[in-house]
Amino acid sequence: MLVARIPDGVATSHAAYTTICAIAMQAVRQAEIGLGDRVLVMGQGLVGLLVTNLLVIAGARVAAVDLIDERAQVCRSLGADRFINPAHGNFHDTLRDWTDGFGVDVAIVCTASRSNAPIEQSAEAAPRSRPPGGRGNHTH
Amino acid sequence: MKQIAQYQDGRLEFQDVPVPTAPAGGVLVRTLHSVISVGTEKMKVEQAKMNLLQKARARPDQVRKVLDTARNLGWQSAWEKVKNRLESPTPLGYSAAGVIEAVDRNNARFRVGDLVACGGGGMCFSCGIHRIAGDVGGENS
Repeated sequence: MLVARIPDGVATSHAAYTTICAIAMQAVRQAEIGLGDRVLVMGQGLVGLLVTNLLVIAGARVAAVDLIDERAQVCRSLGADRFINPAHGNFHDTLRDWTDGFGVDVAIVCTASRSNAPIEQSAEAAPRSRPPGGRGNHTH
Repeated sequence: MKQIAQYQDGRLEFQDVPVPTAPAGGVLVRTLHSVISVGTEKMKVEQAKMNLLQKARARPDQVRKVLDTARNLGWQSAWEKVKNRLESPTPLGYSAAGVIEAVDRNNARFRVGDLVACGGGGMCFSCGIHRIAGDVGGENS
């Protein structure tokens, strides 16, 4: 539950997104990100883009993943190091190259898919961490 | 006032519902803008259109609750509960901004006319006025 006074100069149409932003912020906080952590963000819809943005602000390096190529530009403009579309078949190769073979430190899943693939791909991408999937978070 | 409601048979309705009163310690917020999320709301709409078997596959957590009810109260009660749930509309929405229209006397934090952002399942729907409890949350939550 949340009620917060809207600061002067913020449009109510923008303030309406506050709870969505709080969901993204909670995912980042729970992941306990450290400076320089390499973080995989599955899904670059509204929540995924907010998570990507907050991670970059928190000092993490981000690989942003989405099935829509048109989202690459906005992900990079928010500071993502990499944009990966798994449909092109280079998901694991790109991550292996990006992490020098170590895998990502954290995976955050922001997809609305009925498929289990984003969860499985996240677990495979973060092999060093426990529980499986690293400090994995799943948010909608 | 108006409210968007989702029925479990897939129907989506823009309904007239009674205007609520401010709960103890809480506030009423008249909506100026409300978000309908393409993730959460789309998922709810898609699940509502599923048949019973598909719903059970998509929500194993709910199936477990039904089985628990059946174990504790019997199958008749479990079926009644499922039927009621399927026939009751679910209000959509959980993130909005608006203007405070009423403040309970036990709430000293807000005043009528304050512009606020608000959210939370079960309270902040895509509707005309939100009824927001005062015992949880606050300006820094």
